[in-house]
Amino acid sequence: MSDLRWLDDADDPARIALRQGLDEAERFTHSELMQRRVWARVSDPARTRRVTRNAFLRGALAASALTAVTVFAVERVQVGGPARPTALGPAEHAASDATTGAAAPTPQGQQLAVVAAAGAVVETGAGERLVRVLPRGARAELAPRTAVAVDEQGRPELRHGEVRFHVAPSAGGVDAKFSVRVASYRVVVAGARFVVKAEAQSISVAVEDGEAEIWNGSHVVRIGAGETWSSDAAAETAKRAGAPRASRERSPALAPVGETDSQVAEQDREDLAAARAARAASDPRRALALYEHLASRSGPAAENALYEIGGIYHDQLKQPAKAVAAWDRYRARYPNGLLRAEADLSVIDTLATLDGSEVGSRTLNEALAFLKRYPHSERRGEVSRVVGDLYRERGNYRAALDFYRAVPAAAGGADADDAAFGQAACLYALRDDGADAALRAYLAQRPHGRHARDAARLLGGASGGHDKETP
Amino acid sequence: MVKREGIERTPTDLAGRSGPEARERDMVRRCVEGDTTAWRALYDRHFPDVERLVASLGIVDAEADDICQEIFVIIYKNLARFRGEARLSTWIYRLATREAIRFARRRRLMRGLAELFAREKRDPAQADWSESEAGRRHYLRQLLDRLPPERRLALVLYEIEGVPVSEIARISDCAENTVWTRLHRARTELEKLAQDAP
Repeated sequence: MSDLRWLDDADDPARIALRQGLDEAERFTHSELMQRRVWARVSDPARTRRVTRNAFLRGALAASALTAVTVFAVERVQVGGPARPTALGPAEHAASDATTGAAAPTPQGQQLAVVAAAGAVVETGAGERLVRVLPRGARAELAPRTAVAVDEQGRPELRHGEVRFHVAPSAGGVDAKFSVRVASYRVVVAGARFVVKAEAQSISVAVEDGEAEIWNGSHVVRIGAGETWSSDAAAETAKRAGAPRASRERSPALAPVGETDSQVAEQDREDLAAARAARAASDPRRALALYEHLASRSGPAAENALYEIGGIYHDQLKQPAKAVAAWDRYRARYPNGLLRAEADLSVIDTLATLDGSEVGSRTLNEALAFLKRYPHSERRGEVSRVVGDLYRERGNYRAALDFYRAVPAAAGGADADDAAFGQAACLYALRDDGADAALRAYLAQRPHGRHARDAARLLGGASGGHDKETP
Repeated sequence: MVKREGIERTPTDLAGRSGPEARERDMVRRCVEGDTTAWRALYDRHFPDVERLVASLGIVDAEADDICQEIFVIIYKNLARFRGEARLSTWIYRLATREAIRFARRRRLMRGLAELFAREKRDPAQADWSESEAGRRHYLRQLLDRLPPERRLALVLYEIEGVPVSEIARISDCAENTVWTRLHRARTELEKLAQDAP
């Protein structure tokens, strides 16, 4: 079986680029800064008020600003290391010295890292570099032509030039943050190595290790290791968002799709909304009537409605036979529809819950057809397990084994569990020498598995001879 | 010969299985009684999960702070109702998912309104968006913003985070089949958007 992912087999540039975009998308990284900040707000939850919003009022009043902020947030970060050259050179990995205030190693002829007193202004001239330990323990490497002021509370402000800060991770607590002011921005970290650069027209921050937040008023942007932020991009996008444009046309790339496709008639849209509302309000009969009405038309809304009818029969009305009939209607009308695979799977899932040898045969045929039609489906493991179960029920253990073996271990908890036990049970039924080992392996890997008791029973039977038990 | 030793559960196993649940119930009881240490422990343990859920819906920066605050206040206020019938993490996920999706819907509506009232529409994608990593990432975010929250959650967790469907179902408090359907539809919408791109 192939392990192709969605769009791995894409052959047109747009879909290839989409797969690339997904592969390159930022993975979630936990933010300690955010955790601390939110804790400061909820540490006394009995007194904390919920954040209230009047979406409509605020949305309307702040419409233009929001657009700017949205774009600001979206375009804020570049990944892959500092985009701008740094005058500081490679980082020194001596941050631990900073916490003690001790003199640090001084590569490239830099001066000893001495403590910068509160209230002092530290400056470097052309070609001069300095390393200073700030009153709160952070270490600052100043590039040439840089000025850093330290206020009475020991907080630094970069006035111009470029500084690399090393801030050792602190032991926690909401006050254990370090911040640097630069123009109207505040860079906040909890433990990081980062470079702040203040030029005549722009501010930039590059995080080398850890994470940083850049605050401007109540707006905040969060960046992680390898990312840079620049005020240029923010200013530029804000300017663009506020500027009039010749065309008010919506970009084709951003046109709504699917159920809100512009091709869908307004009436369809209203009916669709009403059908969804009825379904959500547990009024399946009304939802059914509305979906049937939609299905009698054409277009994407009709296709979607026909599929949803099956769902209502299945989920809310508990009428599986009618659900299958509805999905059959869908497949007959849209043999290559967008929801065809979903309809096939829904039919298999539903038939698998029904009794009767005729139903069993149909389920088997449906499942085999699915595997043939979608050999790379991500749900092939689940369907293979169903086929394995059906063959095992029929006593065709060799065929069952083949399908159980096709279930990847990563298929998901229940399916992988069922398939593992199914294999062992088939081997047991075939009086295969590997049955005991397979049952033992099942119990070892899944001591509390869904079939642990059955596996133990078969092992007990095996100890007295295979004739005693039937899997 | 197959021996039965080692197969049956021992009293230690049973104690081990009931241990976490009992500890959770005790932690919740202490929170309800006003024990701030217990509340901090609960917060520290479950914050990353809530944060990931919120991030998956595209809620970032200051908005993420707000919604996380809101979720934990709701959790605290509802802790007295926690009966221990499900794992605490599952119960928290349910509350958090409901609230985060509600927030994401509101936010989507706000953005729709913002576009309506703004003097201009959102920037179109750059013609060469597919040629650079930054362009693709930016464009992908724009596309994801157009998905309903439930579908976006399923797609991001599955395609980007690599979370198994069974886990997404638990996070979203729905059946695995529902997750597959959402995933399928999200993919279909994204493909259509990508193919319609200039």
